[in-house]
Amino acid sequence: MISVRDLRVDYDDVCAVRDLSLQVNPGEICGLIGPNGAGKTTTLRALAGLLEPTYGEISLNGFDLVTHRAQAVRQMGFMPDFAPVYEDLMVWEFLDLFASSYHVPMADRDRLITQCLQLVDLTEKRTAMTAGLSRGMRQRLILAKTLLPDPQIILLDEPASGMDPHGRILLKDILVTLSGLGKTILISSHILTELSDFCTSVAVMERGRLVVAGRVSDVSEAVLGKTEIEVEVLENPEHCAEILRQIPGISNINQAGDHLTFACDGSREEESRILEALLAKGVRVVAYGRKRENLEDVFLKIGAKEVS
Amino acid sequence: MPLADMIRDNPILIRHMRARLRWQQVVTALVVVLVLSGCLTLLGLLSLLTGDPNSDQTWYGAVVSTIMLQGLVLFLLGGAQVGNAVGTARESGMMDFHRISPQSPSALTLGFLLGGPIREYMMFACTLPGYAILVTAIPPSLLTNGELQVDQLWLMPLVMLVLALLYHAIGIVGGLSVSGAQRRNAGVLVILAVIIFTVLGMFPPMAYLSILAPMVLAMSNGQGFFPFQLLFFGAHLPIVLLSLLHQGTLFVFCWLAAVQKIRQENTPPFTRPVALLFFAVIGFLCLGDVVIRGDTWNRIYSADEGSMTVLLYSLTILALILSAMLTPQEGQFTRGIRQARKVGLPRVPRWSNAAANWPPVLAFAGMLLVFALVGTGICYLINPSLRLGATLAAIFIGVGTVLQFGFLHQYFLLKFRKQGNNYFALALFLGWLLPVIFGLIIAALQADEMIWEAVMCFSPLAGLGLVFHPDNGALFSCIAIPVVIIWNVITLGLMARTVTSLTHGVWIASRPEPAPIPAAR
Repeated sequence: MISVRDLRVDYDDVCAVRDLSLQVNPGEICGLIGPNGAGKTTTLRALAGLLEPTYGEISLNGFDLVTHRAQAVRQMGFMPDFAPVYEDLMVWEFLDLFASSYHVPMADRDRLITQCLQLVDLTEKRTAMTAGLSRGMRQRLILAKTLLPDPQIILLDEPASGMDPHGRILLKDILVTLSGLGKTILISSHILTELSDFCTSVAVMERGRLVVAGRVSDVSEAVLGKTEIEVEVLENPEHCAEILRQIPGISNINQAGDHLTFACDGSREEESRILEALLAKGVRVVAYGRKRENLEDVFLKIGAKEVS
Repeated sequence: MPLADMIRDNPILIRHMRARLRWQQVVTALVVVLVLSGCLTLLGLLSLLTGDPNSDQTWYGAVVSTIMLQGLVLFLLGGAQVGNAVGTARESGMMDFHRISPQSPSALTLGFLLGGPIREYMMFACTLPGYAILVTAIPPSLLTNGELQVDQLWLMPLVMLVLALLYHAIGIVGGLSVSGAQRRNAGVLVILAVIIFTVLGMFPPMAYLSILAPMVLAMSNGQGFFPFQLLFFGAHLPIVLLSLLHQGTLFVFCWLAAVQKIRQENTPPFTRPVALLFFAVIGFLCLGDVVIRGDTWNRIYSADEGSMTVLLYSLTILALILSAMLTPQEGQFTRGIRQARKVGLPRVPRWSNAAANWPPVLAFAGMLLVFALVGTGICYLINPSLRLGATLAAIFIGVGTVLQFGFLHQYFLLKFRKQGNNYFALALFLGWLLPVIFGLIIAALQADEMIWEAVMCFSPLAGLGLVFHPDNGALFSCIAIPVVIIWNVITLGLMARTVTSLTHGVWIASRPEPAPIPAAR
């Protein structure tokens, strides 16, 4: 579990993170989102013990990062947004370096390295020099290095940057699997649509402050207010839109081809009644359902501007 | 963790062994060194076997060249490798991975220290058989005239290794201290340090900074072309022992600095208490070295004003360097106040690195005063002709210089933030260097010596030495001392005002937000 209380980090005369409090529970994948300069990387580096906070308490699985640093860092694996490697080492030597750093017994190292390489799909590159790896492969190698000591807490700063679609899918699958094993994962990313695929919670930062945090659905509901419904009709969408306008409690009706979206502030029962009304009026519905919580909408609503 | 365990499975050491001892790369380096060392050994042996009348000189040449080859490999190549290894690890972000691994900072430091120059250590090892053969085959004529200290020559590789560790530790600190684009070139800084240390080591009081003096003294025994003796508190000690005492002590503190920088990058290499201890230990060693007997570079050393000048300049410059290291930037200073405020302390602890620098500056000045007075006492006991008035004036200027430097530096860093160091350098140029430049210009215009020296006395740097002038020392003291007093009064006032106002401002600004007023029912 990650527990942060009243965290403040200053760089010279700039306050990068201001009074941030956050908790991420085991099994949770928390997405840390915010525009450039919001303080995401600073927060992750402070959690990793690479930056000394001005003040605040950071506890990793119950170990305070200041008073029990050695135990706290053993709980944690950190992957930065760029992938530094020793370019004069082979891939297996690079992983062995960190196996040794984390006091993995010599007898287990080879097996662990093989497993990690399989996990990130780099088995074929085992004896290749790291200098010859592409950026995406380096990211995967760093991911392997991060997972090698089997950390309970995983901090990932823009892990998918530089990865090809295959790498991103791999990353997503690995994170979901790890979450299922009870690991605590905090991940920062600009690619909000990807985060919404697998994050169970989000924390939105802006100008060093935590604006809102919680489960994705809760944050969406809290920020966006109404539930958004998507309808696909077989024909005559204008007729469908006309019917929707006559139903009380419906707003923001948008039509794009045969697709319509609208906001509804009612309960699930109300959503069901709307569908019944459409069918009763002869609308030929192909698909009907809640629009997936969109982090970009949440983000834009909060006021951030620099989403890539 | 025991040292053996730290070495056995040290990941950084193994990483460097893998990267730098790949057969294809290492074989060329080893062959080159082996051939060079073999040629030198052969040269020494052949001149003996062929009965060459200059065999003594040839043997000297072969031994000195072998030691120089060892120095080139260990100090220059090895130092550059350590600096670059650390600089590259820091630049690439790998150092961050090491910092958050369960490896202790000491183990990481040891890994870089032994692993960075691992190939150079192997190259050094390749020179040892040749060196051993040369020391075994000493020309008989050299053994009889008493110039050679054979036992000291046998121990010379040990001095090389300790000195190499010292340079390499400096390389680690340098690699973690330089910023921006220079990081990757940190090795060049180490080479520069080795060259500067070697040049300084040619002067007897700094003899222990390089291999030159130990090597030459072991081969001349204070006779011949190097006629002086290095004493420690007046006692004759074997040169290797003296070298190891000085270099080992310096290495211990460089090691502590390297560990500190590996642990946390944005901190000074020393905490304030360690810096004070460092100054005290170096002060003690300098006191021991203050009495040097002999005549070299046309300068007779015999516990005179020259010895005191060297002692004062050495300790003053060391105090300035340490004080600059311990002076917090504005960001660090305000952060310290916020931290103190958050945990409910009435003020930042005086010996915290975030507190204003006046406590360590005062401590350095105080220790300088004590060491200088004790040194004066020792010199006066040995040499009653020492001029006490001039010596006390020089001590006053030295102490004042340390104080004004510290106060001014703190003022500029707090007042002008990121530009503080630039403006501070400008102030030092105007206050300390400009009088010297004016003095030199006046000297170039063929003016009276007294006039241009008097102008130079407006700079404490020159004043400290010029007050010992045999004829005009009193006059120069009358100029230099008031200048130092005025500088100190001004800098103290500026520093105190800035520290007080900034502390007050940040203290108020970081006041905890009041609890919301409960709504009326």
